[in-house]
Amino acid sequence: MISTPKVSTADTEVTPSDSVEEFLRSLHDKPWVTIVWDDPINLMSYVTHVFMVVFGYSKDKAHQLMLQVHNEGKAIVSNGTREEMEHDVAMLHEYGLWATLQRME
Amino acid sequence: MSGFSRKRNGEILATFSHYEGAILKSLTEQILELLGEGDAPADPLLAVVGISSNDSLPEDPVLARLLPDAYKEERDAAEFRRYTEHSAREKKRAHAHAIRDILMENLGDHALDLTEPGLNKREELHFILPEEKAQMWLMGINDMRLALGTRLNVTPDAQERFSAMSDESPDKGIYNLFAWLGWLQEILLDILIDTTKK
Repeated sequence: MISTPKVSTADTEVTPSDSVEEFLRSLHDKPWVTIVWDDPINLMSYVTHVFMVVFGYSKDKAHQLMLQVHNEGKAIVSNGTREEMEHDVAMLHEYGLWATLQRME
Repeated sequence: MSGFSRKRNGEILATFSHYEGAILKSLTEQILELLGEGDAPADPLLAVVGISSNDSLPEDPVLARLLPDAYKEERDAAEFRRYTEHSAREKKRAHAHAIRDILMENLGDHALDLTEPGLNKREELHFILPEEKAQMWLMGINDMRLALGTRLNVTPDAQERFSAMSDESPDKGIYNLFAWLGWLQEILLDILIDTTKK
């Protein structure tokens, strides 16, 4: 999910090049993702619980994400700005999950 | 039966034998020792703001599992670690302390000394686990499982592999401890999830 970049139209002083720059910047800032990788130690029930506590996901959504990690080896669990993803990864590390962040591929 | 249960008034009751209590306490101490002060920054100014001079993945595989890289890309991982490893270590230490402090508070140091003459190792001890500490316990038990599981090189087929081992094997003993911690974590998790539903 990428939010639509905001381009100001009210201000006539915004030149096309400013808009383009802003658009490019929003592309640059937004599409970061947090990935959780499968590991053989964490309990499935624990991983589900962590997704619920850290992200406030419903039990269903958390369970589906946990299964995706388990079956496919990894899953994208959140997306946003780089700062937001660094925060998410730090939280997941505190809980002992194996998580990394990267720019969306 | 050791483990955790919910009392009628909603409090979490923890039940452990002297022996189990001593094992848990010893594990928290090993975790604390492992986390140590290894990231102590050389520059005291950096220490004040919590920036670590260390920026590489720990060589010890257990530490590397407890404090993993946040990026696949090495340079980004190093940069992130410089600014966050100090607080990540502090959080892990806080988990271990939450477990150790409550054990010490409720059991008293002498009760946890398994060499104490006349101590009935199997005698059960009961204490209340404060609700606000329960998540810390959950994370602390998980840290222990990560540490033991990494040392044992646990793989998805671990249960078969270790049950085939002779009881004499030291790894089997550690695996049994690892399995017990998983069971303990599952019980605590059940209790906590039950509450969030209400």
